Amino acid sequence: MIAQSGLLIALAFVWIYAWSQRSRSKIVSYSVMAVTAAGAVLVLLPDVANDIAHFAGIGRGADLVFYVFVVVGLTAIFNLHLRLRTEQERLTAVVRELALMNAREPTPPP
Amino acid sequence: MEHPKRIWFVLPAYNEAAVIAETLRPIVATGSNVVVVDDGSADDTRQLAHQCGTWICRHAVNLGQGAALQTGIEFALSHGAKYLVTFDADGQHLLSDAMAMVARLESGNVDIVLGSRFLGSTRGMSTLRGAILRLATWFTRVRTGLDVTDTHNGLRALTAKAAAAFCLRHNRVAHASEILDQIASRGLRFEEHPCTILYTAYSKQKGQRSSGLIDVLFDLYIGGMRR
Repeated sequence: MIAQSGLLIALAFVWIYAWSQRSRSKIVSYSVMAVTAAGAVLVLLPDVANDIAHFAGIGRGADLVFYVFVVVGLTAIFNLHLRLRTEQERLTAVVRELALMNAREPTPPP
Repeated sequence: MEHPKRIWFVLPAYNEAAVIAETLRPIVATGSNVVVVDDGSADDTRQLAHQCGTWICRHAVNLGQGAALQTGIEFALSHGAKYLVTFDADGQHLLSDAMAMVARLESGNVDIVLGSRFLGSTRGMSTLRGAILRLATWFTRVRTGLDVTDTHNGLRALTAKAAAAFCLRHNRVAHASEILDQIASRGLRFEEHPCTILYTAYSKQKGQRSSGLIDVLFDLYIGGMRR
């Protein structure tokens, strides 16, 4: 019961944060909200996870949750990687602009 | 030969204080314009290059050779370059090769002349490095369909028109493959020129790791997925 409560509180915080950030990216926010809501259902009704796992041909509900977590985690990491590269391109543009603006003219060699 | 001032040498440089002056002096002596893009060096590369009589563009932070090349190309084009030469700052290339490549551009039959160490020669290249470069070249041929004999060779001569067509997005080593990709996709006319690459103890210590090929592949494919 204690673990269930802790997990539900953590999921509720994630859901609220995702909801508050939906103006930044609707797709990401609604995806996170859906995943956390599904997570809350599985925490409250663990037998549902077992039923889905059996239906999908996976032994236990816990394994199903683990596999889904791995896929969601890897997708999130990949998305972050792409975003970092986009930020790198923006940084490059700024640094290049500064370099071109502040170029130093040659002085005659001694 | 075109007036030297219409020829621009572009040298990306990162922590090259040990050799930069030695590399630059003969180039500056030709009367050509030279722009050194100091890619956030922590040593005296910028000051030493400036004392040699070159233009200096400075990246406030280290971005990588590809980014430095693109900065230098944009700078040279904005200052009226007719022909551009990309040249490594670590002393691996010969000025005589670069000038011969510009002479080939002047014939008007090509947009880009690419240096090829496998048509020319190398001094001090390890067997492993040679094997990896040949593998990378094979990969490039398959990828781009270009009939090239070398890849990741920093010595190139290009017309202003060709240089303006480039838009390098890979900041680091993958830019060399990206240039070949863009030659293929834009239908630019190119030739290869036999050149000599000098692998000194300094350049080997500074140069790309052999494992860099993996970085290149990763960069190219992840980069490709984003476009």
